[in-house]
Amino acid sequence: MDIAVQWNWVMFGYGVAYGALVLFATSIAVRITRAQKRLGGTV
Amino acid sequence: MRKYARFIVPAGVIVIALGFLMVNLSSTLVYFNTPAELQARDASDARLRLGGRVVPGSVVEADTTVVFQVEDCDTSVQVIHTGVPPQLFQEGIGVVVEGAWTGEAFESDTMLVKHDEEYRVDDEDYDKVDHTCSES
Amino acid sequence: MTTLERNPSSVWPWIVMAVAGLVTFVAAMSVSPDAVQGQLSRIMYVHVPSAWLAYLSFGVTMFASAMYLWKRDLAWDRRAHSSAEIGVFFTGLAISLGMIWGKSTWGVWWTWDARLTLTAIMFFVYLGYLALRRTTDDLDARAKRAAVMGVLAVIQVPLVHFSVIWWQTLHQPPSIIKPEGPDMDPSMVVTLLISVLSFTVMYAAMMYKRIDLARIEDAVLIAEQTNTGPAAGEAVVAPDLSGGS
Repeated sequence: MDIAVQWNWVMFGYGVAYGALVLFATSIAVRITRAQKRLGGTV
Repeated sequence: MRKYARFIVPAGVIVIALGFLMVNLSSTLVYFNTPAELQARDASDARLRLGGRVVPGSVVEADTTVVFQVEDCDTSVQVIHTGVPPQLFQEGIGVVVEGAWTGEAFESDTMLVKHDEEYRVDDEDYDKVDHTCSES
Repeated sequence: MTTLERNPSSVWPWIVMAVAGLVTFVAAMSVSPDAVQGQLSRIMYVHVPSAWLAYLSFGVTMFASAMYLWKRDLAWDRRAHSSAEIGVFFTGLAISLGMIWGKSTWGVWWTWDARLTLTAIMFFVYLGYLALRRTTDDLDARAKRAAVMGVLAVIQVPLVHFSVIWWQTLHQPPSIIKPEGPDMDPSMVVTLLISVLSFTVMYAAMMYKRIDLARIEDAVLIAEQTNTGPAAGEAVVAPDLSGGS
């Protein structure tokens, strides 16, 4: 397989991995903020 | 006791479901046949999988077919593959081919490259021996 | 009453996650490629730690569930829940990365061999665990149901891991943890260990934040359940959440 094609696959994989990690971490942060708001700012 | 029924019921369902999947799975647990297992079979149209190592020096490429030997320990089987093999296909690599056993050759139309657990920086360091033999 | 001793706005866990991700990336990009696979072997340095974290998470869920059943302390339930969610995420990630590697190496995105099938089953069973938690708002009932499942479901971890040894699979057997010692170039073993370690640190930081979230969500549930009483009135406006703020 061509080296450039291999790198495309690798970058695709790392894009998926790090993209998903950022999204998951963001979702935790967003849910924390939302839940805090629902508590009415007592936290 | 009635209180616990609520937890035992879902637990039971899971155990039964897992048991069912396990029994069902046992039919697909053997993903491929070895060359020796294949030779013990009668020729048929049944769709089978054959796995093994591409014998170095045996690959002959034609227009739309690739003919080569797949070996496992001392047994080898001729494979007539129709179609374009995956890009990593090469002599000495592990493959799983899908097709039918004619009794003399395996006619396949689907090929997967099976990478083994070996990882080397230099091609020279690659162990050219079939690992599956040394263990059994 | 739920207390919030820790500050849920702390920033350091996010920084730890980012650094751990960066360390893995740099290590994975610096190591030499495999002679046969070429650059594709680099996918291993995120695929393997993701799979490891899936095992670790579900193991922690099992332990925390057992602790809940013993101590009946909702803090253990929150740990079990948090770990299961993180585990589902990493199972999904390991499967996705495995598919990308599979397409480029084997030639197919997916095939029904024992390892792949069992991993998919594990993914759906733990999704079921998360779904089970949504069936009631009663914190104690929810915790009890989830804990029983959290303990039972863990049998899938050894099943998934040893599937490649017990049965003939397309997926290769483990490269490092095997009786004859690692069948891998030492530089790759080191890189793999670095990535597994940094992902484990990332898991710890994620757990810290996810448990904070679980704690606040439990507090919200308790507050809402207290406020819905018809005669609640002004007496129950602010639930006692002393300690944090």
